[in-house]
Amino acid sequence: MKPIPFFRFTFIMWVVVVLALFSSCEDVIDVDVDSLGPQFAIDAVITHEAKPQFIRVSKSIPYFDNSGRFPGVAGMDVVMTDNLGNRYVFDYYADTTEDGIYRFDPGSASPFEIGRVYTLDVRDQQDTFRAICDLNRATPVDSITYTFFENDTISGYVIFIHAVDLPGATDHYWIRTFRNNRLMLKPNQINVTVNASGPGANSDGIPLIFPVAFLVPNDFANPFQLNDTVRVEIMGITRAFHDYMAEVSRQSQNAGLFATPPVNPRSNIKAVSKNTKKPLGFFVIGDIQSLEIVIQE
Amino acid sequence: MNWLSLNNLMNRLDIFRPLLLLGCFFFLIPFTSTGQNKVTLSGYIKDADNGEGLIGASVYVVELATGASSNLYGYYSLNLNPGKYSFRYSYIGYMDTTIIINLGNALVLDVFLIPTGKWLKEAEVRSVKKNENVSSVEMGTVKLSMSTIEKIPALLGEVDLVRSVQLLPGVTTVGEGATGFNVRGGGIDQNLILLDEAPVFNSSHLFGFFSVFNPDAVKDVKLTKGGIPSVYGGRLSSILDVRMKEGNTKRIQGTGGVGAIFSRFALEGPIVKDKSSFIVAGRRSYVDVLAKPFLNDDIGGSRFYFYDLTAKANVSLNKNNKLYVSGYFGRDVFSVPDFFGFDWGNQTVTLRLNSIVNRRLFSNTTAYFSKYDYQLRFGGDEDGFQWKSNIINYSIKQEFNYYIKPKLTLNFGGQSTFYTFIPGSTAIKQANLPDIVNSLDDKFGLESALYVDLEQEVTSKLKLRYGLRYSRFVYMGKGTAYYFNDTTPNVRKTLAGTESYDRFEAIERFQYPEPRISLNYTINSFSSLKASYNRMSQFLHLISNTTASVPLDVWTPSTNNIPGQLADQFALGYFRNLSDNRYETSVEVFYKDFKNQVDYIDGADLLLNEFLEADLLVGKGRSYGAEFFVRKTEGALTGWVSYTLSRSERQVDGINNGEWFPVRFDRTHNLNVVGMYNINEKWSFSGNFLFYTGTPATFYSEKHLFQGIAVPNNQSDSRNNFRIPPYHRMDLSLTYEKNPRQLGKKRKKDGTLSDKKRTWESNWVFSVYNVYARRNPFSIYFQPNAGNSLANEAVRFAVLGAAVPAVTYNFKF
Repeated sequence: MKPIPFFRFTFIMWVVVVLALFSSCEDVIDVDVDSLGPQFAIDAVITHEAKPQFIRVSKSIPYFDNSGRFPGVAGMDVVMTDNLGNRYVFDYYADTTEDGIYRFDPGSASPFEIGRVYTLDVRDQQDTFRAICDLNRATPVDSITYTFFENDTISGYVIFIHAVDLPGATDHYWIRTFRNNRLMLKPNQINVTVNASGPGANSDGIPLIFPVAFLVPNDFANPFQLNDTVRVEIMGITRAFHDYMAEVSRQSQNAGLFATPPVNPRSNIKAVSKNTKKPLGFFVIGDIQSLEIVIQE
Repeated sequence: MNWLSLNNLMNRLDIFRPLLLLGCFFFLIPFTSTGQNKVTLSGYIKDADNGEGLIGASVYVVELATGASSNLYGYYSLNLNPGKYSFRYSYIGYMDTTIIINLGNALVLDVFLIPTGKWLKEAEVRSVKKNENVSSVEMGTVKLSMSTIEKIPALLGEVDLVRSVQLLPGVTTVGEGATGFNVRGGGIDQNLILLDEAPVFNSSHLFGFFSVFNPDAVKDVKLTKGGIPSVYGGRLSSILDVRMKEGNTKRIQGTGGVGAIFSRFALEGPIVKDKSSFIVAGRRSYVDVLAKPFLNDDIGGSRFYFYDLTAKANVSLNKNNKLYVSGYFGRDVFSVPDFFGFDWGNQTVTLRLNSIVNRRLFSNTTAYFSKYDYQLRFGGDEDGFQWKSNIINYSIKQEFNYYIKPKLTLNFGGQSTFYTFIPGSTAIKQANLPDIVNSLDDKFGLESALYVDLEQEVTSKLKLRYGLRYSRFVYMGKGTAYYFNDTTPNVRKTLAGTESYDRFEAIERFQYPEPRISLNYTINSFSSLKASYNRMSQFLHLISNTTASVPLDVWTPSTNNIPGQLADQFALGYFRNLSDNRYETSVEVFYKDFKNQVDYIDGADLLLNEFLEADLLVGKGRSYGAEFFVRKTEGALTGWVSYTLSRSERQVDGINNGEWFPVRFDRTHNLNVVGMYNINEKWSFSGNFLFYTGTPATFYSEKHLFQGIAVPNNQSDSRNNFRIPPYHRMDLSLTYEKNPRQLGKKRKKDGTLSDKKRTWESNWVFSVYNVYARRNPFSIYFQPNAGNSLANEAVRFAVLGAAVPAVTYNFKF
């Protein structure tokens, strides 16, 4: 059940107590790790919306390269097809501050359909990187409520997301919270669920449980303020993407007494010929439901 | 399946087959007598001060140069030709007693040995060579007395049994604060930790900082790593046998202390003088009490404490039968009202009957109950999420010691254990709505074993202990068995189908014969060579993928998808005592081969996962090394030096590209120096120094960008490809014994004053843990920089970064 962030939360709480008790300490040190060279990385999150869709192709960099620059890759053929044979071509999009971006503009209506299977091919002269994903449904955000809280140092608003899992099947959701149009993306805010909770609980068709609706989406150290715009998006995803994001979250905070062996988030992208290094990243396509509010007195 | 089907019926009978076999054993007994007109000298060897039975005390027949030692209950038996003999009774820390007996008829003789008490006298009193470690057939075994454990400097001054065991050769841990210990390459779940014969599933309070055993209630601790006799089974790597005190049969006695973490108190005394006794011991942490003023309103009602309660009583039913009842109850509690709560603990209850069936046949019958459980809660009681899990076992065990003749003892018996597992049960509570309860199926298992074990002195030079344990495990219904398709290793298996099974219907069976043999070739009175081979099996698996085990980890039985674990161990040792047995030294080398070791796919869901078995991998392991041990047991300076050079590895398809990799607790070099020095009658000083090679760790090599997050990647897919820096630490402590204070004379029932005076003995222990404040890395982990989430840094995580001083006050009256 570790993919569920709220269990991580307990461990963190515990570790905090242990830290306080035993004056444990953490300090930054230098470690020599040799990089084995760059790999292709594909960032393809496609939503079922009448909005331009972007895919970025880049290269991985050494772990301790702190330049913040992940070089983009131009000159790739980026094509998405569905199981009915429809083709959607992503063109290189140069009008941007970032390189390696490819764009598809669906115009006034999304041509994608829930239930279809989509294949993404990213091709260069040497190889094709391919990934397959189902387009899954998402549940609507019924409402977002908020309450004021304060303690000695912090005051602000915390939100509660009201949404009910769609009954009758095992759904997976990625719940994203945007504050003033900026995605809150600390690793511990990665909020993925199986139905209304985690993989183990029987939570089909019920409201999102407390940790998912409240503990994870809020940044308690920096709560929302008056007039903040809060948008919550629920995206229908696959189990594979749920696991990928859970692993990304876990690997980004895999510390302390209860760390697990570092493992790589499992990509769904494969190199068609086996001669090339394994590609990284993920291709996911899903329906999206959202609700936006403004925090008022 | 139909309840009445023949197959079904057979399955049910099958479960009980070992018990039927055990029955057959009883018929064997009469045929194994030695005939002739021999006579038996038997009885108990006890402590003269408090009447406690002494485990492993020896009786030596001077004229015959032979002898026997007392069993786990202090019972001994010698079968001899009639005649006049000198019997010398001895035990470390006690004065020898020699009794000359003209043995014509069978005689029952309970012998009370007087503790030497003060260190000064011990050396003077000593006349007999104590070369038990050289002459016995045991190897890979270390016994620690509570008086030794009490002197080892401890974290925050809290005397700790498990942390003391970690100072012995061949024992490692992943680091400070980690639960349990690792023996010769075995996982923490491969140690059978017995508290008065009942297994304890989680030996720690507050993760691994403190062990659950109350030092005031423990009599004796023995760790067996190799040459494990066939009386023990069910775990691969070691037996930590913790025996509780029986309670003072002479007078009421209290012990206790006030420390930095716990306050503790124990009371013991006779129920009927010299016949039956009891002990009750309790401890509670009071960090929460101290922390209260510092908690602000938000978490003002939070609770955070741990406690344990240990109790035992024994009753002599008649001169041949003695009944023991003992129990343990401990819990860690942490909760914040309406936010979350978390508590866990062990409970054990043991009922034991010691019977002297006849003078040469000693019987011990044990029934026990043991439970480990935890509960986790988020939100309030009305509106939240709750989660429970537990493992319970009920067991009955029959053991016989049959003293055929001085040079031949037969031990045999059997055990049956019924397990129930609740792997996880959740309830989602919502105001004004019914609870949504979801439980994984309970699991059931029956483990049975039969054993025979012979201790034989073949010649004056050669001693053997050999036997066979036959272990059997049935994974059974009521429940659902899952069947999975084969897949690429390290990818979640897909479900092929399920099958439902009735109550007690066997789903999967395992049976392993486990041969055990140890031999001692005595070179001379101060040196010997020993060798042993043992096979162990284990049908329980602690599902844990974290560096240190968490209290949330779930125990699971062997199933149709998880085969029973097996380990074969070979060991060779050379034992030699120096300077008139003042120094014990030994060198042991071992090789251990593990089969069916559980590992996990990348991103495995280990908790609340109905299809857990789809996320498990099965691999093999090996461990080998050399252990060097020098111990000084008498004089003003006592202590030991142990050094272990070893390697522990696993090989699992799908992990580390299928190559062997070192396990997380592998430490190449492991050095412990433990010393205790009695300066004078008032002051004593102890210290220890530890040096361990750093544990292995897996490091990332690259990262890539996904949705604005720098996602780490280990391109080579290797496991444990780096070593963190070594661990070393020194601890010191100083003990000041206060002058005993005379308490008033006790008033008897008739109003007159008793002759005996009570004394109040007390001491102060000043200790410093981690004297030179080394920041020993528990781990090195990688994380995004706080200011720039795309930049990364390596962080050294040390559980303790400072010297930890403490003062403890102990008393006894």
